[in-house]
Amino acid sequence: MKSERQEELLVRWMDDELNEAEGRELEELLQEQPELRALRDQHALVRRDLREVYTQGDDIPYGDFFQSRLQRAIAEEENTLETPAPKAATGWKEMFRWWLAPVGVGAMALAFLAGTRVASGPEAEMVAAGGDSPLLYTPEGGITAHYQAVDDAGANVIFIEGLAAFPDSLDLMAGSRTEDESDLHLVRHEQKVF
Amino acid sequence: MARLSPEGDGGGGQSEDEVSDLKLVEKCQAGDYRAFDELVTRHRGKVYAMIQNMVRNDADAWDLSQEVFIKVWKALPRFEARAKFSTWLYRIVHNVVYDWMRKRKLASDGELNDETLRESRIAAGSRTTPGRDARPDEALDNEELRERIESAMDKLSEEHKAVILLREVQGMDYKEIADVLEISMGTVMSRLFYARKKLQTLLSDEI
Repeated sequence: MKSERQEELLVRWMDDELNEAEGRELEELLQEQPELRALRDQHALVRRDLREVYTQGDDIPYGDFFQSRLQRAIAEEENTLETPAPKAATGWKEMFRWWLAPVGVGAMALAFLAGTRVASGPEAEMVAAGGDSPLLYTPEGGITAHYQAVDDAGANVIFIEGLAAFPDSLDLMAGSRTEDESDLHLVRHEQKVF
Repeated sequence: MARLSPEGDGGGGQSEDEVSDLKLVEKCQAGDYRAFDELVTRHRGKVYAMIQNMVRNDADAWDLSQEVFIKVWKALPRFEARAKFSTWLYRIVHNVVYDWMRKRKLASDGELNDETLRESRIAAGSRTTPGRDARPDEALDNEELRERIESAMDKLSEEHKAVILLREVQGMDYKEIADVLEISMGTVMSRLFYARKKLQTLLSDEI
């Protein structure tokens, strides 16, 4: 018997996958080499230990975060690369439409709030930029902003870091300017309609 | 959400999961991102497990899983239903992990030695499973078993290690292993035979 055939028979025997004819073929081999009989029992123990030690397929840790980060990474990837997007890109963009509105409204509210606090100046200008995904723009140095889609809540959260607290003197409903303009922090949101 | 179940012989008919995978792929290709999201949810556990078993580090496995699905997203328009989606996916997993290992080895410029590897594995040893806390004596036994098995697996060649993990741990059939590793069935059987024999010898030497 060729060695390749022997190897295949022995492997399939260890896996309990031999048919009747192959079983007879194997018996002949085992009569010639009885020491091979131990292979199967030993392998069963090794397999049990391997399955004890190695992971077989539990869910990934932080699965929801995994999905949302993946969406973000793909969106960034598509913006970075100027190569034609995959066919599915249309659907991807479709997915974003639903949250453009609330993010846009939030940005408009912040812009309106800022407009009540300062005269227009170069720092308050909207920066136009290309790209297919929304851009959070913070005009002051030291302030950063990013967003995170929270699928379970059906919402998007904008994180603004480095922003000082609004003063108590600010009347959000009045729409008029107050004395302390230094507390102004403007966050604008730019979006491109897909 | 449906989870991937162990598949059949891989030769003839398609399992329900596979049919469903292909439907999701078709939807992805027609522009439905939700379908992609579902595909990821369905396969992420197994993808992560495969990577974790190869790199033995939770954080790296998590990041590499992201990389895998980004590659899947980019390549999906070119996927043809002649192959099983899961096989195609696992081939990407295999390539991503081997690229990562190669780069890591090059970056280490010879500084990567067995001791470094072992330390990183011990640090990553806080596995996400089992779900219950083991008793102290059980934990010690588990730890000893883990060290014994990992030490033996470390001594296998990458080719032998791959077939052992895919067959014994992931439970793939021979044909699927051949497709994932892009080798012939004969090579799969031969590698499995020698890898098992070597592993048995290594483990019996350690006792």
